[in-house]
Amino acid sequence: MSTIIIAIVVLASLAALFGALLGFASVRFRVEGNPVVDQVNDLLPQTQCGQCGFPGCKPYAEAIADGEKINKCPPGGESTIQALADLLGVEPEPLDAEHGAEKDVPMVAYIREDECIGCTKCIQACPVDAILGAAKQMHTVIVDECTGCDLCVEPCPVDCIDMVPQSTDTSSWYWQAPTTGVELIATDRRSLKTEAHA
Amino acid sequence: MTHLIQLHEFDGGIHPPENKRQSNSRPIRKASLPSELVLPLHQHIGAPANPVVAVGDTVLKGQVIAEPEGFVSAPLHAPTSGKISAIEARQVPHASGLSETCIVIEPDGEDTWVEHQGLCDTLGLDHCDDIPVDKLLERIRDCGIAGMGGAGFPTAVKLNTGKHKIDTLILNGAECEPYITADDMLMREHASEVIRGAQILLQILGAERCLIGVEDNKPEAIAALDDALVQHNEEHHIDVVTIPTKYPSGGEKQLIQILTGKEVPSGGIPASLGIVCQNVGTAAAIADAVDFGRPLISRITTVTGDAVRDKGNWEVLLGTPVSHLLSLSGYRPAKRERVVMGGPMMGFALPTTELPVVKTTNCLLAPTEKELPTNNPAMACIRCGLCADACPADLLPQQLYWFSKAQEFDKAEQHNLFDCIECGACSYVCPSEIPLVQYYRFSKGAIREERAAAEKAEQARIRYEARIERQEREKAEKEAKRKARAEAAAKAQSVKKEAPAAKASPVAEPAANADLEKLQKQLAAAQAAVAKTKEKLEAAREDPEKADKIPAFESALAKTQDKIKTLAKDIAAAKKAAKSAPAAAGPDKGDPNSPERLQKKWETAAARLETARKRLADAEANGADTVDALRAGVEKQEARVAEAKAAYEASLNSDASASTGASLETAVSNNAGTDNTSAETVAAKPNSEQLQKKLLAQKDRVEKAKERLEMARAEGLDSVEALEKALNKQLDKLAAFEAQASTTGEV
Ligand code: SF4
Ligand code: SF4
Ligand code: SF4
Ligand code: SF4
Repeated sequence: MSTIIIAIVVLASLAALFGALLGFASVRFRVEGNPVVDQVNDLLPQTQCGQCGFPGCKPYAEAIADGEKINKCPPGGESTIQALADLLGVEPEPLDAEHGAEKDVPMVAYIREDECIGCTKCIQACPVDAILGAAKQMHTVIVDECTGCDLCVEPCPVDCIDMVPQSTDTSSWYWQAPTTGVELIATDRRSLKTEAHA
Repeated sequence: MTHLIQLHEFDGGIHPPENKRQSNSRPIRKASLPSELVLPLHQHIGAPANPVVAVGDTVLKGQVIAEPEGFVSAPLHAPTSGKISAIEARQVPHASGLSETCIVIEPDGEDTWVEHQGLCDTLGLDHCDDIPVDKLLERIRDCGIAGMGGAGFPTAVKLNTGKHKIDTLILNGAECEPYITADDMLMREHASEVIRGAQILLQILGAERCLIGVEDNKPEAIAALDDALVQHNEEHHIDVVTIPTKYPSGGEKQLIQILTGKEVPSGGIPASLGIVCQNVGTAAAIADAVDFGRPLISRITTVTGDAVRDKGNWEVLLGTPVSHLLSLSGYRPAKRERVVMGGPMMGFALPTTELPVVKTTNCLLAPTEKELPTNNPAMACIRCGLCADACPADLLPQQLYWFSKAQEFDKAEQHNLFDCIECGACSYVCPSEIPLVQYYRFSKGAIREERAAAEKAEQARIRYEARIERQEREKAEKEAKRKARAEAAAKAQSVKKEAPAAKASPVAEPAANADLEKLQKQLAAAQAAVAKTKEKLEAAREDPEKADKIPAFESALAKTQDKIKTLAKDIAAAKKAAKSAPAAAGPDKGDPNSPERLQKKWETAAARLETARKRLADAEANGADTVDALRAGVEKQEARVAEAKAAYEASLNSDASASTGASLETAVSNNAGTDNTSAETVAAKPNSEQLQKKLLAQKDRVEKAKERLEMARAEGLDSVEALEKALNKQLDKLAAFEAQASTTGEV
């Protein structure tokens, strides 16, 4: 009899102990937010342009986590679709043309400053606060913060915002891959060389 | 050499033809002054320097012309005295051929130095051996010294080893790349400076020993260094170590491995092993800077290759055009010839020769086509594995090539792509002549770009989230304010209901009245101003001499009138406020529309009517011909009496605010010189119908203004701003009318 009681007491106390431990752990090591959403969001380009039909990358990430298609982000393009497909274990699909095409060069906004009338409309449109200015003052784009989302172009009443390709300087420039022509064999090579000399 | 140093070997490496004899057989010559010096602001790794001179300034030799921007950066000095002729974008010596901001100096030929002296004298010390380390570092930074071996990393930053304890200083005099002899000649002719630089570096680093690694193909340099060691009594700390000739033993990691047997871990820095490596040229520049206060304004550059007649080394001012140096050396360009900056292994072909020599230019190689043939078209990789045997960094060049070609950058990274020192040994041995290094440079660049993009995306995410948060906060604040206002209004309403008429809230009223008085005073002043201006305007109109001032007066007048109008509006608003504070303060003495006054008006009008009637009766009795006129007068007077009566009655009604406001407005507009008598009637008898009409008309106007604005916007006209203003004004008016209408409606 006493063995049974001892067993029950031991088991009950063990159960209580582990229950408390688990309860503590669930509070202490709680993960804020939805980890899938964050992972998806990390893969999106954060241009915040809304071309996907959502008001920003995070909302689209949330939608993807809820089963939305992964091919709606033009700024991300094929590489982002591939990365999302890898993450979520789904088949990659080609970019949905309905939302726009992928740009081959990154763009930044440029305000023609002498034409700016200081209406502040572009500031209100910029999703990442990349425009500096005040009412009736000249406005300008902080190039390093601009994601090239295009959203400021439309609201400008005097159309003084241009999207220009991001400039390369000597620190951002890099070698292009050698152009791979036809792979030659030794005999080809000789004839090609004589041609070049001729 | 006093110590026996056990040498080690690194894997791989190649033995290309040295081709050094051509240029190291004659002493260093001093290059003549060119007609202009072009100094790029970005000659080092890190942020470009910031110009501190302007176009047209005259500068002296050694004067600072650009300050460092941030920690990893270096200043720039004028290499000779002269005038700054431009600060503009010019093509810089870089593989990209891009342009960057450069300072252009037109030499005056005097070559006058700016005042400069050794650090010891500057500090006024007796013993030049114990200069504080921070002063030494500061001097090195101020003199713009950046690694002269090729990379151009700011030396002061590299010497800042932080928490790492340094025990060994290595001076790199290997100069393993074919053709280049600049360091060789420097060691031969300036061995003493090199040793002095080593002493200073040892002091800064607190290191015990210094190893100077020199390849065994430079016996003269080794001998010169040994002599200098004896002169400086430094045989115990500094060793000149002869190492076997093999490319690339001058690579930092390779040299460290040869001299110490230690391998710098992947992605690590030598300082983590207690080692700092500097080029011998850098050491000599440090000696110059510390002992004589001479900044880095010149360097030794090899000009060689079969396309130049006079091969050799030149001491050349930074900024000297390559073409100038080449012509000094007797350059004979032939067809399809290039000029390479750097050596044949790691250098790059210059797009033009109108480019300046910079801090890192150790060699200009002008080979003939026969000497250094252009690349043949690449063939397929035959997987021979020669590249892996040649790689000094123990990488798998073939794998890296496949990954780079397929743009599988993550895999290339996993195969330690970033440990590749781009030495070119693999390309050199590749039987298929694949430009392997270019593939690696491409993938490194692509990966760096990807990383930068990821960083930027992260930044954008943070900014986006911050913006959303801010917008939400602002919305919440607005909501809270709106609620507070609604509550206050509700309270006021209830108070009003509880205490109808007469009982003013004692606090609010005086304040409101005070405001009102102020506004009224301002109004009076403005009216006086208007009168004066009008007078002046009249005078000006009469006097032809003052005619030119008319527009000024007119605009002043218009402004004051505008002001009066706004004041009037303010007053009306203040009055409304005062009134809405519970049923407004009883009969107001100052108010021309108070019931008492209106009553008086009515009474006088009635009295006048009486007299008019009497006169009429008299005239009729006498049969005078004035009867008609008098009758008309009586009729008018009757109408007036009726008006006055109506006004009085209206004013007796509890809420007379609308009429007050309106009448005030008319009064003001009268003052402002507008003819508007009929409005008096409106004022006296708030006529909701009339208001409604006005309201509709105003709405119409607003619509029209909006339309016009849209049109202007669509066509991008200049008038948009003006139209916007106009629209706003119309909207204001509409709001005013609406308010009036609603109050009248209540009556
Ligand atoms: S389309 Fe624009 S907003 Fe949508 S996920 Fe892509 S970058 Fe973000
Ligand atoms: S500046 Fe314009 S293009 Fe750039 S992020 Fe802002 S809204 Fe987008
Ligand atoms: S270039 Fe890179 S991969 Fe090729 S041999 Fe040199 S270190 Fe090795
Ligand atoms: S040396 Fe050239 S051909 Fe041989 S394995 Fe390497 S890349 Fe291929």
